[in-house]
Amino acid sequence: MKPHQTEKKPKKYAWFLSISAVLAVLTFFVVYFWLTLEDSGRADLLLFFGRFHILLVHLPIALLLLAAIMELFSRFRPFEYLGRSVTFVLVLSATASIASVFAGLMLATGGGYNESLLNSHKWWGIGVTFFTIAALVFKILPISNPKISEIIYGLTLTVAVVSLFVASHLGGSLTHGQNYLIAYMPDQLKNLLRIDMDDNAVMFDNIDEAVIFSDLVFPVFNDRCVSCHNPDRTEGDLRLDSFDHLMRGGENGPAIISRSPDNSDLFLRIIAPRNDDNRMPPGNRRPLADHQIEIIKWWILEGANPELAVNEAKLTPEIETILAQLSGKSPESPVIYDVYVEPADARAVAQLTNAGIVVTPVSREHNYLRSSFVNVEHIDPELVRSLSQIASQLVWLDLSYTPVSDEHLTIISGLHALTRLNLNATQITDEGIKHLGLLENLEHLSLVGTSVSDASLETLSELPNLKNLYIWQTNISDAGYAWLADHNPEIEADRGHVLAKPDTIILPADDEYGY
Amino acid sequence: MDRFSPDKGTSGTLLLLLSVFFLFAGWYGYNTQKNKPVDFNTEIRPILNAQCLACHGGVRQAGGFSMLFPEEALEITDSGKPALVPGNPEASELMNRITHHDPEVRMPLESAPLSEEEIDKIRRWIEQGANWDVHWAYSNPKPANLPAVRNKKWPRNGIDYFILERLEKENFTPSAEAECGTLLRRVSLDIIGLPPTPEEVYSFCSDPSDEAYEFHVDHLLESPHFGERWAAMWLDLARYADSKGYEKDPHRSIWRYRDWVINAFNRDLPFDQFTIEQLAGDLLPNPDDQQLIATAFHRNTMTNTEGGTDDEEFRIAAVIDRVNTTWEVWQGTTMACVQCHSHPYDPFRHEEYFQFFAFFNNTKDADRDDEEPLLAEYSDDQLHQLEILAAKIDSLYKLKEGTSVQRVSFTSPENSIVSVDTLILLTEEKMKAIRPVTTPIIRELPESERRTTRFFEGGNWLAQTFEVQPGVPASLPALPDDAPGNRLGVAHWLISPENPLTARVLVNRFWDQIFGRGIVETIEDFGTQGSPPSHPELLDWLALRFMNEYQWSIKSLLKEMVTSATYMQSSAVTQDHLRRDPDNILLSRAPRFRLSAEQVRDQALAVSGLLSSRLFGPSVMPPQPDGIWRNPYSNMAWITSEGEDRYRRGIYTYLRRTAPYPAMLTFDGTSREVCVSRRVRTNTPLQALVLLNDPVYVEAAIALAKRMHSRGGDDLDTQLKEGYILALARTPGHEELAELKKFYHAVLNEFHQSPDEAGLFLENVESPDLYLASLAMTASVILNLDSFVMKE
Amino acid sequence: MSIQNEAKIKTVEYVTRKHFLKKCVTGLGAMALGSLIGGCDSSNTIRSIDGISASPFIPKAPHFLAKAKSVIFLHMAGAPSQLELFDYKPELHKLHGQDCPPSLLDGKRFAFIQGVPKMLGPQATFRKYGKSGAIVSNLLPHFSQIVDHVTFMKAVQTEEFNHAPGQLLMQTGHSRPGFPSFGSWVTYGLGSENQNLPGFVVLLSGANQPDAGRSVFGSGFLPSVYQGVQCRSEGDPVLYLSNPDGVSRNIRRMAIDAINNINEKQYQEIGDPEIMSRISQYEMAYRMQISAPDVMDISKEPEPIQQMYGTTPGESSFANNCLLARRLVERGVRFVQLFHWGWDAHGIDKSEALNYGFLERCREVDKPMSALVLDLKQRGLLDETIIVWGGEFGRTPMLENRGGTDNPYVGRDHHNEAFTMWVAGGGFKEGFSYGETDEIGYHAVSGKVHIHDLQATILHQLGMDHEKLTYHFQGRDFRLTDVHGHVVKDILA
Repeated sequence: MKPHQTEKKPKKYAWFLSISAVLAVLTFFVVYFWLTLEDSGRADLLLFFGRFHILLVHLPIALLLLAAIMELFSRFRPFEYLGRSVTFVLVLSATASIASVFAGLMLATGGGYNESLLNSHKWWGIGVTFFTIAALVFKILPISNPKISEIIYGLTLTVAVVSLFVASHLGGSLTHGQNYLIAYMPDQLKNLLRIDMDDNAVMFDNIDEAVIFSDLVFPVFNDRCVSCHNPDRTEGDLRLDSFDHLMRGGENGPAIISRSPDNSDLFLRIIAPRNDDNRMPPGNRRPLADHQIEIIKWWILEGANPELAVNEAKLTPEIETILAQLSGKSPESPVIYDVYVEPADARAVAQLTNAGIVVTPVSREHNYLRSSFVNVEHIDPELVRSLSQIASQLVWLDLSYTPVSDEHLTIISGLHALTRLNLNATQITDEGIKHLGLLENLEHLSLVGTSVSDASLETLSELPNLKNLYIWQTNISDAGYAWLADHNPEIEADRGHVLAKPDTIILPADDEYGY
Repeated sequence: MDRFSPDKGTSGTLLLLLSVFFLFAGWYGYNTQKNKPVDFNTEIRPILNAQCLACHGGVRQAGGFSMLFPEEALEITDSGKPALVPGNPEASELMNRITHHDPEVRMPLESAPLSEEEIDKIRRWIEQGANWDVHWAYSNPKPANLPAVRNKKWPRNGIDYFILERLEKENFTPSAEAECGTLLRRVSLDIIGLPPTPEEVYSFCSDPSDEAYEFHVDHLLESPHFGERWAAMWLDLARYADSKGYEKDPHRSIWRYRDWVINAFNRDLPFDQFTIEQLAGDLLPNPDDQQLIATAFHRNTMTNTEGGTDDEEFRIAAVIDRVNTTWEVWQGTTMACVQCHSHPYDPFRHEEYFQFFAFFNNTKDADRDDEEPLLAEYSDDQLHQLEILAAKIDSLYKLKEGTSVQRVSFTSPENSIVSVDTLILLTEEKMKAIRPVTTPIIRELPESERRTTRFFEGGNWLAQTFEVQPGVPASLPALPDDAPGNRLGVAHWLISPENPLTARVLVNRFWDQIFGRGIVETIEDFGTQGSPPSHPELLDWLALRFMNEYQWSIKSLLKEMVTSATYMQSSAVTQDHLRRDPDNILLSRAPRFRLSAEQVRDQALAVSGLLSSRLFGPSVMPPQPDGIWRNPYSNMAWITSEGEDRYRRGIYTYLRRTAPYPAMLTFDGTSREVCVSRRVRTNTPLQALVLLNDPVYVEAAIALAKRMHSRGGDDLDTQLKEGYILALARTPGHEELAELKKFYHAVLNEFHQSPDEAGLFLENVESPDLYLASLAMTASVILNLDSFVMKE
Repeated sequence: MSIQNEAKIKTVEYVTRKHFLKKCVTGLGAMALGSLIGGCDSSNTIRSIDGISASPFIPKAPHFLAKAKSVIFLHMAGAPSQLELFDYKPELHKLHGQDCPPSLLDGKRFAFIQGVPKMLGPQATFRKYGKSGAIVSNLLPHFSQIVDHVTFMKAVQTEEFNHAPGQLLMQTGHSRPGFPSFGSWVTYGLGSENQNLPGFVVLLSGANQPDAGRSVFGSGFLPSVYQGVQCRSEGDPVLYLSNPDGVSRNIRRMAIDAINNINEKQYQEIGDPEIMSRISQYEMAYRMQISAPDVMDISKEPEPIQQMYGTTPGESSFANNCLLARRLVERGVRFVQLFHWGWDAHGIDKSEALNYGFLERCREVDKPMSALVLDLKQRGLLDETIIVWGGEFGRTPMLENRGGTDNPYVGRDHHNEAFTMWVAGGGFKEGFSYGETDEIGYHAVSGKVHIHDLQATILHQLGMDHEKLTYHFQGRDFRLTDVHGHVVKDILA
């Protein structure tokens, strides 16, 4: 006999007494707190206890299943001994499920859950508790005929387990969304179970071979239109779930007129402004994305035929950029603004601004900065050096009409993010231009009214991204200009313009319009 | 191995007991939390206004659902389900929509979902029956007794109890009392718009007792300049201007109305009578000229004299402006919105706009160039002359009929004998030559020519549909039953005790003028989108007092405000103020803000002794740079007034709508094309340039220097002290004095080196008085101090 | 509680001061703060209490990436006739002299036409110019040389057919007075880079000021600091800019020092932040006294440039104002508004008739507006500056018969169904024409652009969403485009 067994009887009571004592004290505290706090405090208290629901709910799941399994196995010979402890496990699971129901109710007061889902989860949860208790009662309170209580006990226990499954599934959906479990189910299994998942951000690795209609246009219809334009629901009796139905059109005539988007009813509806009643998608739904509209317009212009591939169609610049984006490649001209950059150091910006230098973000969506020295009367190198603290953000810099000279350009050459630089009417010379060679991102450079000459053309022509160069009133000769033109045709150099006197203009004789 | 079989009876029952107890505790907690009362106005309406009414209100009823009126909100919507089922949140489609997880269905559409707290509030509000309390401004002010306060000694009158209660709640202690000079300058600028004279400052500072202060306040309230200061506020509301507006913007003689307003304030015409005479003076039983001139309030609307314009279109534009202005001035309500659709937030339907429009749609004026009907007034001697000429014509007619009257000798200009008829014509010409002063007034059309008023589809006067009868909005009390169904009825309706808005709106306007910020900050909008009152009980208490104890007397109301301890505090701003009450909403210190455009001018002229105190009369033209008036179609010219008229108060400056007086505009004066409740105070470099270089202020600086010299003798210190007392009603501090003296000597030195500069400055090159020139520059510094343009 | 925008400016100043002292080192917020502090000049005379000179004109970030940073608006007050300049209608030429078909008259409202007017053929000869083949009349010989830098809008529409309401709608988005003008909205939204010059400058030329007076460049319900500052070519460019006679620049400096020293002491004593901003306004006024006359003095420009624009120093000519506009934009002024009066060709008076006054107007504007486009292009500024040219409405294809009888000279009445404007620079397409009118130029057929659409598009190019640029007033968030307007994407490069 093990020592502990001797006081068996009292111990059983001890268990009960200690549990109930603890619970009583607990409830005492809860009620005490409850009375002292005012409204907002109570709401918080509820939420505080409510949050334990997530913790507590796992206990009944485990314990109830355990009880059921033990009950099941206890029916077989070698595991008969299990039967004796089933009641104990049931008691624990009943207590736990009661606690988790309360916690659940408290949590629900916080709100923010889908109403219907919450309701069903609540009632199934209460159901679990009710049936667990019922199972327990029938287990330990033998009513007249043991056979019947056995059956009822079995029944209530199974119902409890089933409602446990339903309640926990609903609970899971409440917190993690309906298809949390099946999100990463392999496709074959999905097709087997006929679950369709929509992911329209499809990346093409080889966009040129893609068929415009089936790869680019139809996915858009499938994603945004078919939900109301399909076999069993055909708004405006127009079906968009296949090419033929699309071309058949709907109640007010053909949806697509090949080669003329402006007369295609479908196109006119997707570009109509938001407050226009016949805009599609209707009501307050999001309009189609710009690139989707451009693709559809382009497809109609190219004759709206189902087999046409991207490489067989004429590409406009806009379409090229869109296709580039769709194939994940960033379009060739490295538009710098799409690369995220950290915000500039605030103290540096404050210091610059305080010294009279204008420093503002290029937009509220970017951390890139533009700067202008227009308010600064005299420039000391220290001031220009302070620019280097925002080198990775500064993209547009206007130093026109300031006493900037070559020595400053050494610092400016470190501003690698610069795409626009205005050095009009400054004292820079060819010496300074040499330093600008480092600015690979520079696209727009104006040197109007400076003493720059042909000596700088070498450096200028090597700037990889330079597109616009303004060299009016500089010492660059005609020969230099011609050399640059054929050496780097990408650069559009502007040497100034003149307005011809009216009487010297030779009028274009051919298409005479006068009367 | 015996089975666990405790004594079956006790443990089972114990367990059952426990579970029952648990269930009960849970149920109890759940319920009490559920039915905590929700206040619709403070908790629910702000959510609806911010998140829902843009698409479900007066402008649009998306999904056939509008929450503008309670009954509409409970109707079945397009979705076939009622959005709101009082008492049953689960059945209310609204609850489902705001908690739905699919962003395309969830409300508010295409924006962030409501916070959990907001959703919970709405759920509890629906459970408690979705009651729809009336907006605070549309329910009558409730009488309340003075709140209890801890520091019983501080309050001087009723206002202070309300202010102190709020201060104590947010543990603020009121600021110390302002020192005598600053206080007197403050109350003097507030009541009459002019600074106190040094003598008044000395007398008050020698005995700064309450009685002395009250004596000074009464003295200011009796001053004739009281009306001029408060007319400035009222003429902004009446959109008073000396020209007709639009393209040609020709002259309009309406200055008699300005005289009426100044006079009405001076004789403390009770505000209810003030209202009746301006809105319906012509409908009073045999109104006198003054009551007719009062109706010019609504003849301040613009008249379009541009060639090729459709007069009916601009007559209607004028009537629309009259409806909008009436609602903004007397009811603090943005009724202008309701011209095109039901009010987006406040309970006013589209057709109710045109029911009110009907009251004003039957006046004789019709956007005619001559602006008939006009009231002609002859001066006494003109009347006398007219009598003589009329008598002459009678005798001529008698002569013509050959009745035997003795020959009357006439001398025609070339004293040759001319026929009688030409003589009659000649005299008639003379009579016409005597031009009366005309003022456009309101006259009601006779029964026979009454216009029918129709509903404008979408607010467009070209799309008029069904006829409407005159009426007031249903959400406000009905017309008093004894009131006639015309403008006079409307005037009585506005000032009747049942109208919840008029007294509050007007008290709030006066409070805004005195304390720089209304109890309701948006003084032009008491609706649900306006800001809630910072001290609601105080507003109601003052409104009821204005109607009852004071019988609408404006002077009594203003006296109550300026004799309150709140008003008499110092306006110093501590770090604590800046941190916890930056905008001085709690009035933890006296307000400090820039003077109005008129006060800036008047004060400079007053301290320099140039100000002409002449009252009334037509508008004057003080100096302004040329080239301001270059209107394409009118040859009106700005002829700078000579003599006294050059130094008249700002309110008398000629105001042309298309080219107002530049110095006024720079200090936020308005062009009076539309009713303006609030002038937004700004702080710009252009204001600095006006005070430094505008000839008006340079002349004032020179005149002030002369006055400093005559009062202060030859001692520089006393001169500077006199200058300070004249300008700021206090003596300069040690450092201020030192700064001025340093500047004076530096300028004197400059002028010594080039004396003719001083000559140029004083405009007498022969014998330039270098000292006067330097003193004048120092006076200009005083006139440019921040304290000089601020009311502190 | 809705905070009045004026209070916002005050809180900006207060918050800026508080921020600057304490929380100056944390992330983007502080960086936005950097843009809030704005430029106070580094010259040593600057009063640098706490280094704060927060002013409403501090440059602010646009909503999204901007194509342009400033605007020059050339408003031809009086409404130039599009049928004699850009919208060539051979069909109208054939109908010349015939009665106007009733379909064009019934249900329509005209300013002066009554009864049945005659059709009036184009009073000019047209040709195709430039690579883009744009059609321009012989009245604009210089402009025809720059058509490849320009986008035409041939179907611009408005509801107004009277001058004052029409100009108000074009410049303030509302046809009744009392609303902020275009330049006020843009400087309110973006501030201005040059802190020593007004952000919104107005230049008038022609015999008179615009018909609707100051309200076409007023600040409406916005704080008056955003009002257009009218710069004059005679006398002070800005009112009361120069010191009174006898007050030297040195004395003025000492005076401002004395004023601000006393103000500073007053600030120490009573702590009102408003005092500090007044101190900075006096400093800005002092700097403005130098910078304004300097930029306004066009005689500083070299002779070839004066030739190019055709300027006449000392006068308030349109040519002078165009050169001034370029100088202002070059120095970081945000919005320059030009008005040139005198286009109202009714045929009542020789000074405005299509065959007299109108030709004079064309000569006055042809060379300068073309020079402005080229000058900005050659300085590398055209792509970040928007130029807009146009009147408040168009003119009818019919000959005006005021009061039912023929006018003494040849003229057309006001016409709001369709007219032509052009834009250049600022990310608009080059050498492009958008929108068509019917064969006699009466109705707009395609590519319709309402005035609100044009306003929305210009704001878009400046990086602002016209539905987000709002000001809360009388319980509602007001916008320049009221409740209308959408961006015309087809004319954007």
